[in-house]
Amino acid sequence: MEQKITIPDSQLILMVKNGDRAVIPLLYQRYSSALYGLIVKTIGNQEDASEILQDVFIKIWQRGNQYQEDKGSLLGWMMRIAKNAALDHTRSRVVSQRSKTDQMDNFVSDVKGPRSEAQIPDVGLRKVLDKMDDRHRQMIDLLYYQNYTQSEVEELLGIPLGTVKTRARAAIGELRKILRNEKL
Amino acid sequence: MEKFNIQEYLDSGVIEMYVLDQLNDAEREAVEKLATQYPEIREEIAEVEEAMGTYHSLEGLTPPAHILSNIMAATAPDTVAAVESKVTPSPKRTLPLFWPMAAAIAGLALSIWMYIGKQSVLQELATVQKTAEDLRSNEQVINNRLQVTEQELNALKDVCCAQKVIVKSGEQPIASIYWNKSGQLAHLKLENLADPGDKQYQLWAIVDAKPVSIGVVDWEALQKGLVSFEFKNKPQAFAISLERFGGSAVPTDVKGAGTVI
Repeated sequence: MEQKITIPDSQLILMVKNGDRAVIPLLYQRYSSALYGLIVKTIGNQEDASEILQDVFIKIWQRGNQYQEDKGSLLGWMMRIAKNAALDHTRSRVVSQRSKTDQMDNFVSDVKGPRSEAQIPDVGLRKVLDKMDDRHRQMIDLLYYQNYTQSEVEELLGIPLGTVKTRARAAIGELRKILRNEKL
Repeated sequence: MEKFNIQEYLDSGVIEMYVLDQLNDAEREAVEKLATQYPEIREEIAEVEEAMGTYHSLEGLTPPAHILSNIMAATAPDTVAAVESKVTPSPKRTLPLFWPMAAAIAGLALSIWMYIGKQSVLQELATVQKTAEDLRSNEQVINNRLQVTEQELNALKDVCCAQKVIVKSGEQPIASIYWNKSGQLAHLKLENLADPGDKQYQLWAIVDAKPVSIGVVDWEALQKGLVSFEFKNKPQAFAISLERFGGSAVPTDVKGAGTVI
């Protein structure tokens, strides 16, 4: 299991705002896996994701003084930067002419296909994925990574808009419950 | 006017939609405004974001190892600042000679003043003796400073590429580390650390984004001068934590960190 520095977020925030460059490896250690996973799942391939992740951390460093802690968490702010960068990439690349369904296929085959040894998640993480309702995972994937609107999901899955909302909320609720039970 | 019901708001699912990025700009701003007013809403957002962060990690995807190095290189200060931040050996005799010279000049000035004032030779002698006593009383302080300075100079002379890394807590420097880039030694110097009491400071290197213990700090030795540690890895940063006496396998109470340029 990877060791984690337990430096509190409040200290990291202070370092980010002060432009203290020492914060970069600390942020990277704590959050690179989450941000990289977000980017890979959004753009559907790992090849470009590394470059985007690099740009994201540079943006985080450059925009550190713009972060407002009273509006949300440091992680949330970084995830928004990462997601916007991933979406910008998806929009700008030539292959973006492919339909969202194509992207989804690509995403499924790339991320959920056979993994290299280094990409096998540890047992705790695997348990979370196994325990989650497939429909809930699908809802998070469509809304968050594939950037579908709720109306588009309604149309795609042929379910009422109310059900989309309820299922999205239930998905987050289930995720939080499993993480609590697994102590992750 | 109806009182705002926080629980009802949290149960509405709007926080989940906010984190899933399903709100328009106005709705998003409204949530963020409420978050600034109600800690419960801010905490709920943070918890859902934390869960989503973990969800992103669930596939076990890890970025290539070189990415952090690229980021550190891209965010390095400009060349001028980088050159300034590297410690270059200062003129070796500046500090050791300053106090004796200052004292000598003061003594001379005093002597001239006394001569002009037609004081007795005995008075002049007494003044010179007093100056000598003052010098002797300062000798210990000067020697201590000299010892630390010589240690610093030795650390810097040790290699061609010695680098000074300032470990900060916020903006406050708490220690300096002279790091031998050829990869043999890290010399720790106290700047502004509190007495650890019955605990012990521990020095860490961040190598490939992971903390690697360099060693626990002998507090008494650190107060007298530089403390050297053998260290053979190439770090991205150094950090200092306060641990139970004897040290810890992982840092638990990090007091500050400093980046290697």
